[in-house]
Amino acid sequence: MIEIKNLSKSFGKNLVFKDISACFKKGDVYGIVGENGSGKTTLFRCIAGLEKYNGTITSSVSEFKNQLGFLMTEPYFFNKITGKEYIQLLLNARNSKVTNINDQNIFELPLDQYASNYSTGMKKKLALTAILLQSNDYFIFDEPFNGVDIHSNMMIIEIIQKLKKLNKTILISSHIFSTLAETCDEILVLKQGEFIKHVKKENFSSLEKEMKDLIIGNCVDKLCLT
Amino acid sequence: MLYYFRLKFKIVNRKLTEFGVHPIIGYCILLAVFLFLTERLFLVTKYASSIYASCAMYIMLYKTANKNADFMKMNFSKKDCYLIRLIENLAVSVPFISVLIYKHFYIETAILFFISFIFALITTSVKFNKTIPTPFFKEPFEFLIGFRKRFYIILLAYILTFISVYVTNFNLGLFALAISFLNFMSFYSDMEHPFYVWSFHHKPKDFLIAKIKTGLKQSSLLSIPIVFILFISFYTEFSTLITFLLICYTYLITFILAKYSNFPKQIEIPQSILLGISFIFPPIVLFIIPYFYKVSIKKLSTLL
Repeated sequence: MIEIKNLSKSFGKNLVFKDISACFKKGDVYGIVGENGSGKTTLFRCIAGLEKYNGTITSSVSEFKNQLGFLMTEPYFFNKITGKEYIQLLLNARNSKVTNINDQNIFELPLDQYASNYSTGMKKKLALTAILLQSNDYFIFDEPFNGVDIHSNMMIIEIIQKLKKLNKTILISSHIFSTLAETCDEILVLKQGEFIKHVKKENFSSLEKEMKDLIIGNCVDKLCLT
Repeated sequence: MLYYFRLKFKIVNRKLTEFGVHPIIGYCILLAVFLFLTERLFLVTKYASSIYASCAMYIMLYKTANKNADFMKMNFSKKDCYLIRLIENLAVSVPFISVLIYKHFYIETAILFFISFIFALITTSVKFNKTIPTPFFKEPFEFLIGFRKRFYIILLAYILTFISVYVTNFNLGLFALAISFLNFMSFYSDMEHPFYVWSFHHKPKDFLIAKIKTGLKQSSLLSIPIVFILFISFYTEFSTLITFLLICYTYLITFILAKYSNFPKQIEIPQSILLGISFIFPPIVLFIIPYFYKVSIKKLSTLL
């Protein structure tokens, strides 16, 4: 379980969150939605311990960070390092022993080529493969479906569903509602530094329309399109 | 085009400011370092003019394979692209050309001037995608990447070692060993993305020890041929060789600790000054190592 209590975060004068609280239960999949700049990535970075914050973030396990796999929106890669070496680096970091990396290359990536030369989607798939092989108990997927081809999107959905069966806790942010509806147990809507909605799976069908009204409203009408 | 250069100028100024130095002072320091190195080079070798011109060409060639080639092509006309590259090349070569003229090396000056125009015509960015095999797969990443980026310096050190044996000059052999270790230190010059540090399950102390252990192991692997050849060829100098090797290891450790003492930022002026002092007055490393270690632990504890 991950529990967030009264989390506040600001960058200078720009307040990102004010006293937000949430609880993420073990074995459940949570979707975090919100406009660009609403603070989804900052929230994830706070949970991962990559950002300083006010408030508390606790978990039921000791050394939570070492059991967390974090897929960033734009994974960073060194130059002159192959896909296989990148995976090996992240495995070493967590002291995970995996001998058959090639056999578990489910996205069929060219692991012997330099990762920095991969396409956007391939980079994301490589970063995902690495954190999956680390055998983490908790996962944060920051926009995992962006830039990834349709086959891989379907594969990622399958992976998330399998991780759920294995009792892993997953937080996902995405702008593609259908993928969240397919994978999540609960969706939290982040707006202006607050969770304005917590929606359970049974109410997902109405959420998309509500969100459209809430977030978009009549904004498009302001645009003088001719 | 003028705006492009204004932006470039701003970028350089911002980099200097981020490094912690006022741009004007930064330019003065750069000029002083350039003139100092120039003087040293012309004092120590008779091939200085060729080495000097080669340095200028290397910088120009490095700039030719720049990453913003596509951006340039899309946003500037062919003529403007050529002009921009020419001005950039001349900006790089002018300090070198000035010194070469001052020292009456007119042939090198003419070659460098000519090369500035030729390199401006080269439009394709050179991409070498072939994966270079290394023995460091199991423990990425510093030596793995460093070896691929600068393997030619290691080769150069090996060649110098053989030359030192051929001309029976032990000092040249030590120089080759020093070049190798300076090269290994440069593998640690870039700070990794905080994500990679965050990923490690170690505590800061164990993280640093693991980094140092890997550094010592992998540097030994690459320097063994040099040490072995020098040992076989100059066995009477065994104690000097071992002492020199230990000094090299000490500097490598100092550099690794200096790198993380400013985490997540790159090494800045205070660390550079301390490193510089340690090269001028080596015994000070005995105080610098514990200092860098203590600061590194503090900096790393924010993530580990």
